[in-house]
Amino acid sequence: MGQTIVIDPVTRIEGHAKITIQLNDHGEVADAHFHVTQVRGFEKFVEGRPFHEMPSLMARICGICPVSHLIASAKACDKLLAVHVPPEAKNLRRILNLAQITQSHALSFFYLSSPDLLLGMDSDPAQRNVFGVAQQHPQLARDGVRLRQIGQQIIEMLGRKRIHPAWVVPGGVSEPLTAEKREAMLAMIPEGIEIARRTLGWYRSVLDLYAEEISAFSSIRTLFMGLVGEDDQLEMYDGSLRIMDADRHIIADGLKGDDYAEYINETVEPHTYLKSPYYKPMGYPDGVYRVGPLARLNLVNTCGTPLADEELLFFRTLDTQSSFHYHYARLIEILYCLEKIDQLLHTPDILSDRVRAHAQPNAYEGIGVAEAPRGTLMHHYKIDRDGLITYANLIIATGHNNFAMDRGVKEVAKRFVRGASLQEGMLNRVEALIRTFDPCLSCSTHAVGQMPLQIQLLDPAGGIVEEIKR
Amino acid sequence: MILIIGYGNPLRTDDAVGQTIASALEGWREDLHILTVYQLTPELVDPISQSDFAVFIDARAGETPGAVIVEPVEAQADADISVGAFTHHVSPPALLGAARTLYGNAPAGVLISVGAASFEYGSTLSPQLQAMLPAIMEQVRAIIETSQPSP
Repeated sequence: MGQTIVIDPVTRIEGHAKITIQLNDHGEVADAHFHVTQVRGFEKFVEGRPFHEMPSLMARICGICPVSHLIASAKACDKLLAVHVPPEAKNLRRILNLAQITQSHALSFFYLSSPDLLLGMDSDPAQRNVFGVAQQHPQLARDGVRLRQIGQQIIEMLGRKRIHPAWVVPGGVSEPLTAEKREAMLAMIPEGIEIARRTLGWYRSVLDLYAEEISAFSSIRTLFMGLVGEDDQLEMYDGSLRIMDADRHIIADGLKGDDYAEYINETVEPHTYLKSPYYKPMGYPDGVYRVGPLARLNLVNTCGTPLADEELLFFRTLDTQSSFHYHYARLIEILYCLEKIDQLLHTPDILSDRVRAHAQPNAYEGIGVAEAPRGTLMHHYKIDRDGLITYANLIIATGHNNFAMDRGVKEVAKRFVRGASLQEGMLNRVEALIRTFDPCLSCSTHAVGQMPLQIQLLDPAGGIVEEIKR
Repeated sequence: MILIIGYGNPLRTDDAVGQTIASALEGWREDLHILTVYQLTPELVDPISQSDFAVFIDARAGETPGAVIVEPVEAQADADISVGAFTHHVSPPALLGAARTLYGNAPAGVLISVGAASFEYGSTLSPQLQAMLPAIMEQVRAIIETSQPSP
């Protein structure tokens, strides 16, 4: 009988999860799992609520990416109204979504993952955080703070609040953009682009230092899924879904979000509350896929903005199956988002006051799909004759990645963890694999105190053989 | 410029008292810059570094409801800043320390805590704290006036 290592909670991610690593009698990794240990229940408790409350209610799922839920939810409600959202309103929603992706990616890269990259996987865990980065690499820390501010300030200018804005409504947005706000947003873009390019330059220069992790994080090969826009370009708001295999061969294209139930199924594993979706025609687990920045850049031909496309050329030279390159893809997407916001703010009618279509419910079912920072987000609602919700199903971006995270943990643990000489840095590499996906598990804004990382080696009777605490 | 940061969860009754007080200070003096946030996060170091005086206002458990507690906030030394693995919530001294490290300026700071009667779900303060709010506001204004460093 072997031993079990438990990493609980997993740190520097959004939400609560733990990792268990089962060792065999020789101290080698026999198995490992990623467990999501919280349950939220939003799909159930929104039943009976009026459909028009959904965007605001669903935004409460998450304090990091409320905008993503707001947008997917509003798109589902647009379908319930059966209206055509004015194009200017769509572009304003796009800007909000791109700002959200910018600030969320900045949080993931600069606050959560850069400590591993800058200070080292084996560095002192007490200092391996954004404040440790601030002390040793203040410019990079300032850049992270500023990029996040730019995203948040654009969200605040559009939605009046940086967290839980209620500006996106069924049928469009609640008020148009003013010229003053447009100019204020445009003024921030050049600085953001300069920061993104500086960070990309630095990141490319240190990639070789992580050759072993890049290799270890590529051991799980999966399909990829995400929205693709016209001309095979990166698209975060509309478009159709594409599924690609590990060799970047398209296996399904032009899939409509409305038909997701025909090609996506979800399975439940006993060790986690997070469901595992998969591509139905290939079955489980062959049909599992990854979503998010790495998937999106693999799926498209170009980003559609000049500077991001320059970076994409180098990205294509890498082994883009490796989940390690989520980091790089995330940085490229920050650059893309800022360029795209600039483009959209320069569209001729962006200040139009026709930003909302009004109607009563005209359909009993609506599905909204958009790209969130972490990947494809789906909201599916059904209502009764009174417009009250009778059914809600959400497939969140992190859920799509569940299988890849779970199996990735096992492969990385096998590569780095040695039970006989357990080191904190070994376990940090297992966590680092999870961080590449930037999972958003709770989406809770209110942490209660500081939660230490606890790693325990247990004997067969459950006794603690060895313990590491952060 | 005096930076007022009121923080707490506005859906947890008295946890919102920091945000409530900060919002109510709007228009009291011309040199105030007011922020209301759920919790203290690293990006606050930028506005903090641009201020002359940072006032943090929060709810506190385990105190007499309505009691106003004042503590000076000193910038934490670099070596002592350790937020562990979680970076969603940061202490006022750590924020002042980071403001100095990153931007070269750590203003004087003060933490004003208000004893809470309830942290239950709810979008308004508890009746107890609501009734005491005018008196609390008066104390907070006096604290800011007297704690503010001389120019």
